[in-house]
Amino acid sequence: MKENSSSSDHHELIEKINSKKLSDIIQVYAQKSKLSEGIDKNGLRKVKVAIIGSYTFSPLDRILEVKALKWGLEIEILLGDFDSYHSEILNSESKLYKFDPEFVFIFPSHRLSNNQDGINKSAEEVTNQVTSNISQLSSICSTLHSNLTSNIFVANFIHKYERGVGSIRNYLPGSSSRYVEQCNSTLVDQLPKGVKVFDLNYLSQRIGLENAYDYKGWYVSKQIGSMLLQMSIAEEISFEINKSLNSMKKCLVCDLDNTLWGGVIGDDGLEGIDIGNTSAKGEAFKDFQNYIKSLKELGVILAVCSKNQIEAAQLPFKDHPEMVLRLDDFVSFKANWQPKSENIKEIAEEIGIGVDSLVFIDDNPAEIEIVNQYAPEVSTIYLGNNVSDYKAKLEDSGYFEPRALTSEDARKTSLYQQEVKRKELKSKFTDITAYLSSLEMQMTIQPFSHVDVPRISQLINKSNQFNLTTIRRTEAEVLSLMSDESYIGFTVRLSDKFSDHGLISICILKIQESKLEVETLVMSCRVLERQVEHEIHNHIVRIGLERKCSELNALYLPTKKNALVKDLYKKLGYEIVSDTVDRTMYGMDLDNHKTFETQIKVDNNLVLSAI
Amino acid sequence: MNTEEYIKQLNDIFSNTLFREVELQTTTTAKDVEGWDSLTNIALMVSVEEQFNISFPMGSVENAQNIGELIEIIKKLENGEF
Repeated sequence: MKENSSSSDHHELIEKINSKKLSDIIQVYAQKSKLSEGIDKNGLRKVKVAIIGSYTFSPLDRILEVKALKWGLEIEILLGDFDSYHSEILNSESKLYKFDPEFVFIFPSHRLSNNQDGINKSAEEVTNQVTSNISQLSSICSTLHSNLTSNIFVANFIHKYERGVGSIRNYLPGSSSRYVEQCNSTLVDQLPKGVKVFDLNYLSQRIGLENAYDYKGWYVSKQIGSMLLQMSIAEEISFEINKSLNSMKKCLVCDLDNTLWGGVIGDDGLEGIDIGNTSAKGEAFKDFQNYIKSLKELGVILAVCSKNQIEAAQLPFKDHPEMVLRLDDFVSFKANWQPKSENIKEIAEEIGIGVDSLVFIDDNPAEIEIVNQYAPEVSTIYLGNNVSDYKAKLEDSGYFEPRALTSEDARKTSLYQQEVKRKELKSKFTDITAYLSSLEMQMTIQPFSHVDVPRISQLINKSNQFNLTTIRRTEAEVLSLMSDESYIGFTVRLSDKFSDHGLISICILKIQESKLEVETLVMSCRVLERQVEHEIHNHIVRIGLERKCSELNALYLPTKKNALVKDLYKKLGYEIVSDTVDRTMYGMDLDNHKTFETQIKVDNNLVLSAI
Repeated sequence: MNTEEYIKQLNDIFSNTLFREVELQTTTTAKDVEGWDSLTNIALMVSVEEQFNISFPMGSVENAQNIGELIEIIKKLENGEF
C-alpha cells in the first residue's frame, strides 16, 4: 500500500484485516512486511505486548499481528508458556521481565471459574470459594503490577456452553452460570487499581457461546477457544492497546445529507428528507441522531461540515419537527463548497483544539479520501450506505469510548478497593512457596503397572524438553523392563485443587550392586516449577537407602531440545563425575544425601511396600 | 483415487491457502513447506476437511508424520474406516 496505490486497495486491505475468515488473515500476514510501511498514513507505532496464561497462544499471536495493523500498530509479542504465568510473574528473572513489555494480557485458567458438581453448594460456600480463588488471582496481579509499569489486563471468565442443570441454573448459587457471574464481579472488586479487566466474557457473548467454544482445539492444542473467539480476542487486544495509547477524541464532525438524514436537503426539500418515525429509514436516522446527542452529553463537541447552501443546510435543524439535533448542539457549522479538508482545519482552529482530536464521518467515500489525503491528522469513518450500521461503526471505532471511569465513579471504586484490600491482605501471598502451598498439591508415586504402559511409553517417546537422556522405549521394551530385576521404574501422578494432571512423570532406575543410576527421567512441562522434581529426587533417595546402595548416579545427555534440564542434577545437589560434550555423569554419595522440603503431599506407601 | 491424485488436490489446497506455489510429496513434512505453521495449519486442515468432505476425529491428524500419512488418514475416513 504505497502512497500512489488507490484508496480502493486500502479499503480492501482494511476489510481483509477486519475479516473473521482465517484465509483473509493469512493473506494479510503473508504480505505483512510489504504492507506495513504504507498501511497507516502516519507510520506504524511499535508496541511490546506479553500474553501469558493457561493456554497456548499460538496462532493467536499471528492473528493479533494482523488485527493490530488496523490501528497502525506493529506488535512485538512475547508468549508465556502454557499454564506458567504464576512462575513467570513470581520469578524476577523470567523472560517476562526481560522482555519489559508495555502491555501484559493475562488469561487465567477457566478452571478458576469452574464449579464442578457445585449445584448443591450454599450461597455462602460459593462466596467463600470464589473469594479465595479470585483473591489468589488478584494478588498475583498485584505482584506483577508492583514489578512492572506496563498496562496490565486480566481476562474475566466466560460462561459454559453446555446446558448443565438447565433453566434452574438461575436459582442455584452453585450453578455454573451463577458461579461464573460471581467470579467476574468479584474479580472487578478485587483487582488492584491500575489493573484492568479484559472483557472476554463480553466477547464470548457478542459472538455467542456456541461459536466461542472449540473443545477439539482445547484437547488437541490447549487453544483458548474457537478461531472466531481468537479473532475477537485479537481485535479486542488491539482495540484496548489503541485506546490506551490514544486519548479520547474531542470533536465529532458530521456530514449532513445521508449522514444525519436520508436524502439531499437541497434537492428533496424539508418534506422530502427521511427523518423521524414516519419511515423505517427515517426512524434509523433519528436513532443515529439520538446516539450523537448522547455523545454530546458525554462531553464530545459536535460540528457540521457539509457541501450545501448554508440556508438549506440549516433548515431541518430549525424547522423539521422530527430532528433530534438542533443548531445549538453544534459549536461550529460549515456548509459551503470548499474542500472538506479545509473546512475541518478551520473548525479545529475555531474551537481551539488540535486537528488530531477531530473525527469526521461521511457516507461518501470520496469525501473521506480527500480528508485522508489533505488533513491526514483527522480520523475518518466511512459510514457506508446503510444507516442501520452507522452507530455500530462509530462505536466500534473506539474514538469516543471512555478511557476510564468518571472521577466520582473512580472515587467510589477506590474506597471500595481499599476496603477489599484490607480484607485481602490476610490471604495474600507474594512468594512462590505460599502460592505452591495454596495449590494443595497431592502426588502419588507408584511402580510401573501394566495399565500405565501406554502412557509411560508415550511420555518416554514424546517428551523432549524435560527429558534427561532422551532414551526412547517401545511399549514392549517397557514391559520387558518391568520383569527385569535390575530395573526399578516408577510413575508420578499430580493433582491440585484445580485439576488432576494425571500421570506427569516417569523415572527408570538401574541398580548395579551398590550403585543406583537414574537412567531415564521424564516430566511433562505442564507441571514445571511445581517442585515435582524435588519430590522425585526425594523418592530416588528413599529407594537408594531402602536398597542399601551407597551411591547415586544420574546421567544427562544433551539434545537440541533439552537445555531446560541441563543443570537439573547440579541444582539437586549432585556433583559432576565425568563430563564430555555429549554426556555428563553426576554422582551423589548416599551417606551425605540431600533431600528437599516441598509443598506437595506425597502418597508413596504403595511403592515402599512394593520394593 | 490413487496417491498421485490426492497429492494433486492437496497441492491446490496448500497453494491456495499459503498464497505460494507448493509441490508436495508423500515424504513432505511441515518443516519442508514455507509458511506451514501453527496459524496456517488450522486453515489447511479445515480446507482439507471441506475438500474431501470429511471431519478429522481427535487423535487422527495430529499424529500424521508427513503428507503420505495424511493421505492415508483421508483415505480411511473416505472409506468409513475410522
